[in-house]
Amino acid sequence: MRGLTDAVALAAPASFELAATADAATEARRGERVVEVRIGIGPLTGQIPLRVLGHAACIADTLRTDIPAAIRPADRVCLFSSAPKTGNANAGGMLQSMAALAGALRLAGVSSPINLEVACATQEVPNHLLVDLPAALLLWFTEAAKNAGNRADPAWYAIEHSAPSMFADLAGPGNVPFRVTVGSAPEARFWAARRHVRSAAMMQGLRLAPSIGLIMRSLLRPWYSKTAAEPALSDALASQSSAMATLDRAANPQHQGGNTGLKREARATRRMLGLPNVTGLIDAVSSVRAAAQYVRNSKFEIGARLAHEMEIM
Amino acid sequence: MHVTTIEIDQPLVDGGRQNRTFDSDQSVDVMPVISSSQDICEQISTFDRARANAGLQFATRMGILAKFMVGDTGDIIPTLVRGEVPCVG
Repeated sequence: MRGLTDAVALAAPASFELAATADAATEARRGERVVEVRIGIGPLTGQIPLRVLGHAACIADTLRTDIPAAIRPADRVCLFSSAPKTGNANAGGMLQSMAALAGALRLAGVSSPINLEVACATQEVPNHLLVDLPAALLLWFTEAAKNAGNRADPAWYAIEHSAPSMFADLAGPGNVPFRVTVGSAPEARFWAARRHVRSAAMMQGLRLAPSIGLIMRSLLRPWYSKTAAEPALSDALASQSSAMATLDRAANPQHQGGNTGLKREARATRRMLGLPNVTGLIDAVSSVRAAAQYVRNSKFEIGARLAHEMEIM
Repeated sequence: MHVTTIEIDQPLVDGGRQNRTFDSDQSVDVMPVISSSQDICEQISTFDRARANAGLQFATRMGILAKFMVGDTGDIIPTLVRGEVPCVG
């Protein structure tokens, strides 16, 4: 028996995919398929929050425990920025946020290869797929888009989560990896949308990549969407203890602006701040130029679109 | 080759909770599990019964036991508490 920790909720495929997913999982466990973890990063709505450190620690925990339990240890971790899909053209912000999360994952002990890429801005999910999202989901996406500064049509953005440059549900030719989505609680809504896309793709005879999701259920707010009460990552350069105290208050609902949904990441951030080299990482992502240098010097794999963006920065 | 003991923790329509153990010595086949879980879930709403079945189906097929599952609208729901699930394949 392979048990998942209570920290995660299992996002399972629709019933029509159960057999194929189970077969693919068996192949992956035998080493016949690559195990690829995909993690999306939305557009930054302000500065990079200090909480990114704790978020990385939570992902590292899942990589150490739940992914080996579900399939086997990941062969690679792919981080992608979905910002271009939202109409956000702030390439510097995308680079800094990806560099911060990737660097924090390394600090938290993740040793798998880490790939960084930005999503395609244009539509990738074919128009001929008839995707009918339930009204309740559409309402949720519409409200979420207002908070995230998303300028794209909310339904379109949700459907594009299945795109090859995002969670890659639509498989190309050859032996596609077994894909594992890891995300905070809001990602579960997008998983539901992706199930609708996958269903529509199956009806059209398109090939699907086998996939499951692991949703870190106590992380209620995306880390790249900083609350007004949260400290920025760069605040820790002046005083780590002061920045940590601010984050503790921001995660305490008894304080004004406090949000209990930040609690687990806040606790994990405290652990991360005790690690050597944390100041070096904070310094390295403090500006676009420094982040570009850091990404080049680190052993991250850089995708073609991100490489192009970095050339013209 | 054998299913097993699966304990289901599900909210009841009256606001309480149901926590019962399901045992089966039937061979590894999703259908008997689903069929039996209908009985387990008889007191809960149709909506939650479907969710419990989805959890059982997936656990049996994949050999992954998760206490929480993502529902078909993206909500996170308690499903399985503990159990012995065969690792098929």
